Amino acid sequence: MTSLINKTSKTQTLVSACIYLVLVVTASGILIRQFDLNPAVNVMRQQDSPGLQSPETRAFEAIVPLEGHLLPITPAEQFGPDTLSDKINGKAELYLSAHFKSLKTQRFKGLNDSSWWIEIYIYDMATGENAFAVYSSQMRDDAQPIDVGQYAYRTPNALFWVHGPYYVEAIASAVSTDAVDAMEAAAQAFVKKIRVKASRVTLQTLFPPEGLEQDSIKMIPADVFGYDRFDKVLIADYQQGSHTATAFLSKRANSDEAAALADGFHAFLLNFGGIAQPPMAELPHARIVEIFDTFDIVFKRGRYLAGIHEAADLDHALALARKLDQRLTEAGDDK
Amino acid sequence: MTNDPKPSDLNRRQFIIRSTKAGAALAATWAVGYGLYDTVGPSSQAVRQTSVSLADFSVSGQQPRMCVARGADRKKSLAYALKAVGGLESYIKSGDRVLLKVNAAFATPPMLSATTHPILVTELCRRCFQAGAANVIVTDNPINDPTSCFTLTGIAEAARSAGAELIVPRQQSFRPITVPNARLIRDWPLLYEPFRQVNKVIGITPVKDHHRSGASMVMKNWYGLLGGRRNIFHQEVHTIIKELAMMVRPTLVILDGTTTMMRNGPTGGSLSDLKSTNTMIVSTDQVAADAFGATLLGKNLSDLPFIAQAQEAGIGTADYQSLNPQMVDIS
Repeated sequence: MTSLINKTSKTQTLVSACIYLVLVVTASGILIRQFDLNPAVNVMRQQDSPGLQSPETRAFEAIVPLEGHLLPITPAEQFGPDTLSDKINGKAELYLSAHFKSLKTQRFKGLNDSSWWIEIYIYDMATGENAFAVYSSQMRDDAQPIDVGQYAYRTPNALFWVHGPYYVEAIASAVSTDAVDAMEAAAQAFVKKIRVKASRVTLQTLFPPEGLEQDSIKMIPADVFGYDRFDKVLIADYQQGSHTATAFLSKRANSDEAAALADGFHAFLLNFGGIAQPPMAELPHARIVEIFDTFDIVFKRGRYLAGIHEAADLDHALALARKLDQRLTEAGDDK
Repeated sequence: MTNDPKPSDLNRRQFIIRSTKAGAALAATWAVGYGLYDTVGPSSQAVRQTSVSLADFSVSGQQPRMCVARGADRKKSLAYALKAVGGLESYIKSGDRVLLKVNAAFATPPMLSATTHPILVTELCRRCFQAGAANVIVTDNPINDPTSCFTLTGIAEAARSAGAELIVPRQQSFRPITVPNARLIRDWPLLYEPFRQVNKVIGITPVKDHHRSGASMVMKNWYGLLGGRRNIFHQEVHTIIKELAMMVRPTLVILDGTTTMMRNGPTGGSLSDLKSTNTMIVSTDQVAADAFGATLLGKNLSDLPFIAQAQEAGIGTADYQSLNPQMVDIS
């Protein structure tokens, strides 16, 4: 009886071995696959990670239901300070230096036209001033102003605007009237649905109007003129006959900070080969430096740090600096 | 007749033995499963692997050569420039396996010139096969959403239509590399999988402004071979570009200045950022190619320190005139 129980046929042994083999192969396959994660899972993990589910998510919800204009063709993506460079590579530094909080992007296509698509980038820059900084420092030469948000312009294939703390770009894949119309509709919807505290940068009105090239006004977020302590500085170009110069202006936390920065910038210029010039009676509290055949002037007035950069002619630079100083004196610390 | 025992044939002892065996098998299976169960899940850290190094892909015994072709038609410019440096056949031989390192860093349309133009990809692949290449691989490592990057730039379709193989990076495509005498590229993940399969390397990229480094050209294009959190290198961007050039000794480089991104790089976004500069540079010397590319951006060597640093490291010459570059005007 025992022999009957223990005895198995060769066929049974072979079948058993085959079953074991299939099981081993299956188990091995599962083992290997678990180390070969689909990249989409990583993307999902990033999107789900804490800190990225911010209120800005609502921003896209304002655009998405644009019936008759746009249809989402990819899921929304979100980036924080640690991942921004994954999306925009080396340009991330520009935004990070302006206190970037988050970026949300998504691609859309026209409802009835597949010849183009657009990608919308919504940068949350925390404050209107920061948003203006990244907006103005990238202003295109052929910008055509449009009536959206606080600051806005269009180019042949794109729209750029500032709305509260948001700096938004809408970029089309082709030059198309329909695409531009859709982007403008998206911009209007965004501005209408996202309530923000309006914050215009009023400091720029302090630049003397004579000779000012209005489109040249920019806010540089950091490393202004190569000086690493200079941040959030408004600059504006002036053309006076054949003379050109750049005026600059920054409102600091207090008078001491403005004075310290003026001293620091003066030292920075001297350190890079500048030659200190004697004070001029027209503007006795200003420091003047000649460097590489141009002149820099720096001074402070109350909380304001101001000056002229790379002026070809000292007399014109001094005249411009005096006007600027006068307007700062009149404005006090109100702006 | 059958040998199978009937249940009634089992005695108590045999039943206990077989039950014990079955229980032991179940327990062993459970133990193995428990032992292999990964409670943490896959890590984003690269699995510790052995370091690799890259071969020198340059063609030995040849003097450095360079051509600057002037024209608005990319295909024509490439054809003339390649001919002027001796023809692609001087670099690609029958049976060669060629890697094209494109710039596919962003999921943007070709119109914005932020990435390698698909027309160039197709044309170069076609010419490689014409020269006898057995295989052509096209790759890059755009960190965010590589599939969209290759698709929306038109590079995937361009490679496919020319019969080339597109390698989209995956986690296991990377191996750590340490570049000799480098300070930054030490034990850093490199997109190595495509290099296993090739014996020639061509870099092909557009001329662009770059917010951090001043320019993105041939040497900066190798940045796309790095994995990991490579953005930390932006703090020392000129050094990392020099070290990337130390890492890759290409067969040939092609710098597309047909349309140059003059500002707001490296992403651009508006046609206003672009300028028609109608120039195609083909060179065996990547430093010389970048030195010439700088002129298209209106920049000089002091604006782009990585060029002088690369020259000092012995990678090539910033004095591109010393190569007696062929200047070809295509009307």
